Amino acid sequence: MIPLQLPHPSVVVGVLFFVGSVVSIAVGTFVGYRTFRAHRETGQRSLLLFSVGLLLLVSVSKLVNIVLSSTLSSTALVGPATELCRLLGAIVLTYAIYDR
Amino acid sequence: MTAEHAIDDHRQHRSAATAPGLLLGPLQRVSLEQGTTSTVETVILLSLAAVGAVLTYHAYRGYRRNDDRSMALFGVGLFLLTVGHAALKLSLTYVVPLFAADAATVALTVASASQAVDVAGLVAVFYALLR
Repeated sequence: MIPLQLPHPSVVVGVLFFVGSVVSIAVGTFVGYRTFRAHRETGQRSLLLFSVGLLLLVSVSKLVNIVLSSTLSSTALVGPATELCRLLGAIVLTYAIYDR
Repeated sequence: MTAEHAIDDHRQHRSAATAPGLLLGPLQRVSLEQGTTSTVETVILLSLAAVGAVLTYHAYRGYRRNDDRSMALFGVGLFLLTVGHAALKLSLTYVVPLFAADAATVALTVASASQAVDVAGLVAVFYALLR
């Protein structure tokens, strides 16, 4: 009889981490695309800035994390590069608010 | 074993052990959201929190001025994506090591919470845009 083996809690958390990554990239890209489409329809510059800011804040920062983690042997640059993308996104969003 | 080593060890273990990693190709080697690794990163995170606070304040002001609930949702979403994210990541470095028995598991849990905060923030922003 094979004993029932439950996965280690860290494996479950790891799976949740990956699912969260994929979901947030997908949702971030979708929201960014919707905003970009709204910009194309209305021609408002603030919507374009909003779209770029949101993409930088979520999708691009996570993709940078994935790409740098896969290509660089050292992980020292990964954190600062990811957070820099997020900061740029937040700054672009702030600019979008003032650009009215 | 220091907390940093524990996180590194755990990351290696996660890379090898998670089955979804095999399915998700490039995501196998994704760097987990660890605590800050340098002063530069800490400064960037603090700046992110500051800019996020400004964004949230503007959204809150818009909500109070127009009584527009979508602005409140927008503010909540931006708060989670900026201040919430920065607070979680900084807590990994400065708070978790103070009382964590199993630092690696706690770090992984906080990292997953960070993902959950991101998704919740995005959903709030998305819902605000739909309204």
